[in-house]
Amino acid sequence: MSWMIRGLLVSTLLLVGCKHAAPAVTPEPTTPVAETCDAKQQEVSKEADQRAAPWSIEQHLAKNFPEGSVSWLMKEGPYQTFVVQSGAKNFGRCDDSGCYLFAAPSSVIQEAVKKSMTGATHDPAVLGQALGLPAKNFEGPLRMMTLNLRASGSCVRLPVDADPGVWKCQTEQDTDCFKFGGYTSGGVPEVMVINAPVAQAVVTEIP
Amino acid sequence: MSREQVVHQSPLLYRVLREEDGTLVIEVVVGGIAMSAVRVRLTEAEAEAFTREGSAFSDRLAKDIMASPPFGGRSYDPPTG
Repeated sequence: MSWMIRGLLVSTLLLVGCKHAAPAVTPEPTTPVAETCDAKQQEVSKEADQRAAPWSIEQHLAKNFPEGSVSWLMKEGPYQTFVVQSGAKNFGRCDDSGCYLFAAPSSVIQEAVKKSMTGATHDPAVLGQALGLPAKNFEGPLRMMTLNLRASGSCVRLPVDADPGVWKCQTEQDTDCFKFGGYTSGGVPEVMVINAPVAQAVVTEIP
Repeated sequence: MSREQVVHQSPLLYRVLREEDGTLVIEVVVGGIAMSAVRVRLTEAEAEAFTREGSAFSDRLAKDIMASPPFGGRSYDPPTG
């Protein structure tokens, strides 16, 4: 019986959420990523692809983001302070050139959240294990954001060392830090999204 | 919960706060696909640098904290609620 209740709760969380705006989900022909980036980001993306060769952002998206949708998590406190109260237009760390956000495939984040739900709340240890990050990162209420990349028209590329927020790993064994190549230190695929509009993201509460 | 005043809030996802006793604290959003926040109390020298340079200094400090959230053991979790 408890599994039914848990299932219902998770479904409600994932489906109802706190929707700012409904992103279009109609599959569209894939626009080459470079076309959605400005000149500066095209250059950064080109350099990242050269460094990652024979891997590239296009291969990365095709293999790991086939649904064309990204998700990320944020603790409730920073979400309220830096997104809601500040009236942010875009998610991520912003400077004069844009707003920079790390994101993972929606299916990976949503599955991890689903797996972590125990009754009415999530288990930080389970979520941390599923995403290869310390449990501490997931303690307390969270928000899960989901963005349809095609609908938002955001620029997407491989993350690079110079991106705002990068915590560079010092050793191969380090976790919870940045390693170049399109995967987190915990092995989850990631991309850098530039100018992810708040208005187009679906925001879900994770108690 | 102590009263604190927001002295500066940046789109780089950090803010500088003044606590009730006058201490300056910087709160910085850290992390990638899972974002949280940490706080660091400014030393006297850092507080002076912030007074002198303003956001140019706090931008640098915030980036240093983002690049190493434990920040030499100086960071701590923001209060909840």
